[in-house]
Amino acid sequence: MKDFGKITLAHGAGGDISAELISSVFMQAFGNKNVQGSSDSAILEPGMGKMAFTTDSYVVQPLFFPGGDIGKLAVAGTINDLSVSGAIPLYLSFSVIMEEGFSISDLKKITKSAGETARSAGVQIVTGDTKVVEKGSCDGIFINTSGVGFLKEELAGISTASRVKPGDSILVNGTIGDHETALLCSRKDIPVSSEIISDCAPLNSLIRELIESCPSVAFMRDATRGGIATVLCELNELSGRGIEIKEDAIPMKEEVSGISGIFGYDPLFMANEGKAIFIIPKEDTESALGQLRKHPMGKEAAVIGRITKDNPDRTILRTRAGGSHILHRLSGMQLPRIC
Amino acid sequence: MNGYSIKGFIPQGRALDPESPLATPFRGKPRSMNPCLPCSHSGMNKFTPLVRLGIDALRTAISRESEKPITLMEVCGSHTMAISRFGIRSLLPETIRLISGPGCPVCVTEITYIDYAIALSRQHETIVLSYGDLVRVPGTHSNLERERAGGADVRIVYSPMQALETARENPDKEVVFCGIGFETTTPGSAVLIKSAAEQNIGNLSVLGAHKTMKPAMKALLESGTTIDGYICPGHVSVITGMSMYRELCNEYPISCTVTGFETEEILLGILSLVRSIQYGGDPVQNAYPRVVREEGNPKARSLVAEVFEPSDALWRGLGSIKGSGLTVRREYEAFDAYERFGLEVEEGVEPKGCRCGEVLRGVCTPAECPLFGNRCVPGDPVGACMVSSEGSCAAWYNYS
Amino acid sequence: MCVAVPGEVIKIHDSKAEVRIRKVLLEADCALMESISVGDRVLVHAGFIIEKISRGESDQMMEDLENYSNITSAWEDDS
Repeated sequence: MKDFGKITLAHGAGGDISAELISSVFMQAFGNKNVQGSSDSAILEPGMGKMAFTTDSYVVQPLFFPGGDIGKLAVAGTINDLSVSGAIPLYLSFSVIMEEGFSISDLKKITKSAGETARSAGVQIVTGDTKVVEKGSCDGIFINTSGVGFLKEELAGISTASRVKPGDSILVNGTIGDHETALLCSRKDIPVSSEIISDCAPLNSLIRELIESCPSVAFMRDATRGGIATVLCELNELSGRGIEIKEDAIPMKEEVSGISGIFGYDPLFMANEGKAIFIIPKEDTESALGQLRKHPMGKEAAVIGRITKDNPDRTILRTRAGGSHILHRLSGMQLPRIC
Repeated sequence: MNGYSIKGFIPQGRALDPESPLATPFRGKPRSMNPCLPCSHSGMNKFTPLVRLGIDALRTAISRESEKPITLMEVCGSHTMAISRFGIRSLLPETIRLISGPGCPVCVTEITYIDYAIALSRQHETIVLSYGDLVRVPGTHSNLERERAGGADVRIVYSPMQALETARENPDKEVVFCGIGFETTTPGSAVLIKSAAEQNIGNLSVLGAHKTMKPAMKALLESGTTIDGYICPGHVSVITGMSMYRELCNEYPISCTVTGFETEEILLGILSLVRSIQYGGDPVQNAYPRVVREEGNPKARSLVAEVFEPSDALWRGLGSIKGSGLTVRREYEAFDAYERFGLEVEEGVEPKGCRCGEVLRGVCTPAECPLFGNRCVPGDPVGACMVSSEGSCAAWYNYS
Repeated sequence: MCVAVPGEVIKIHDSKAEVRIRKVLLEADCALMESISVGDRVLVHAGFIIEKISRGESDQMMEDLENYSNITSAWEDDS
């Protein structure tokens, strides 16, 4: 029969058809010396120091958006989770759950994109799983990636924020809200469009170079769903230190400003996929900023605020007007407003 | 009349009318005063230094000129939001008390309406379309967001015209649009109904809870709440024009200034009210002349009048306000969801302990409500004021 | 109750206009306006153009913004 081009329940059943899919699609896209072939596990060389391990699942719609797709997102997202803890990401798993009837050509595009993203970041996808569920039981494709990396002992404090102290600067590596704006503009059901693309990207090389030149970095966290405001509120809780940021200092593209005006969204809470918050001691701020700006993913890096001695239980935004207000975590998703 | 100038405010280079009662009385000499109004909603970075000068100048003017304690009420969700978000209260002297009135149409949507929408969403083959934050407004037992999680087809739309498309794409289903809003938004519902009629769309209806501001503003003054001046809603006024404020100011000893939404524009509106309340002169001012015309938008108003007629309406937290609602006229009743479905729902029950009504009337602050911050939070709102992100309680919670 | 944004009309077809709002293009309905032309600066709310922003006022504002620094010195003179 002619190649059907769509996923069927047989592709997830573990037999010949499954094996054929794995070799023709997944191995093609991810092929490397460590990839688990027909064995049950990938056997890997351990790194030195502490091990970092993370996992994340990806259900984004639409699957293909300006600047990326779910494959690129799934790889970059997990690489970034490892990198912001100070670890060098090494190995990823890549597991998919697909809906019966999913297009194989779309699957090939997604896995190719995932493979390319991993390769460009110097990370290997070494194991994975494929399941197929009946039509209607999932939204096209869901992807889970788990990742391991290794970090030097002295960097282990980065993710606990234990080194964050008053006077430290708060930096971001570029414009905020790009990803969510790109997604909104690419949806068919809303009558908006723009040229903006998602900032979806692996940040491991940016972060590695930063740490090498500025080992005093006190904290890092990538700002995904919930935006930079959520990361700052989390940091405030984790570190017990006050935070103050200046609205004027936050880099933002015009498109993001436009979308936030149209729907009544707050850009501080809009999703990113290639941005992180960095806490750097005051004396190293200039050199850290310079270092970030040297990298393609940090060209628009900026200092947006500082850790304060006062108000340790608050995250404060100073508005353009000179007024201020407290940032709280979002309680749910931002909803578009008419009022 | 140069729509840009407000008595007492002299755009650069033009002479002050020395007869104007609002010419700065304080120092006895004319002063140049330019309201600094950025052209775009989200600020213009290259003008930031100039914008700061504008804000400082306005703050200074307000501090110098405000002598006696006054209470100003705003009745617009976006004003509630902006005042909190921009920290406007922290820029004003203690003589000026800003209170929030019922400015958020989502928040004042009555419980029974939500129960109705929920009942429709539970009907077989029915799609319910709603503006964003209406889906979290609590009904007696549930809300539309939870119904969606339970399998109902509830979709968020940005514009009422999306309902037309949805109806065309789903000819076998009933499509119900939750039409809420004040004067700014109601014209959109009117266009939807008219278009549906013209195009013979047979599966579309509007569940309406449209309201008008003037009866509510009047009711607040009648209720005894101390209000010296209204910061009037800029975009409602785009549609209504200035006449309704003239009527209010003729009947009651208040001032009204139509105000925009940037920090500078709000400070300008406040300054205008301070001057008007303290020194007299024309109690009705337009501080948003670049979009608000004296006559408003007559075409939008006539479309609304064609499709809707005034009725009484129930405002959550305030009770029934005579003549403050709009119902679909008989000629268009095929598109009125109440007529179309004739569902019966029990009258909704207001939650115990909730002081939304008093908050909406400006009688108490959100913090004074016993449920505020514990049982009633933005993620799990009990009352109307916490529901929408620019309800008084939500704005207070998020930005104070 | 007014999330409305200013933008510029780029294109018009049937009763809809493409409005550019800070590099985002939004399709808005013109039914509430007597007439709309390409180049008009407009206010958009819930997918409808609800009013034109008067050009005269905008230009004057731009001029005033640039003259602004006079104001604080005027205030300071008088303190």
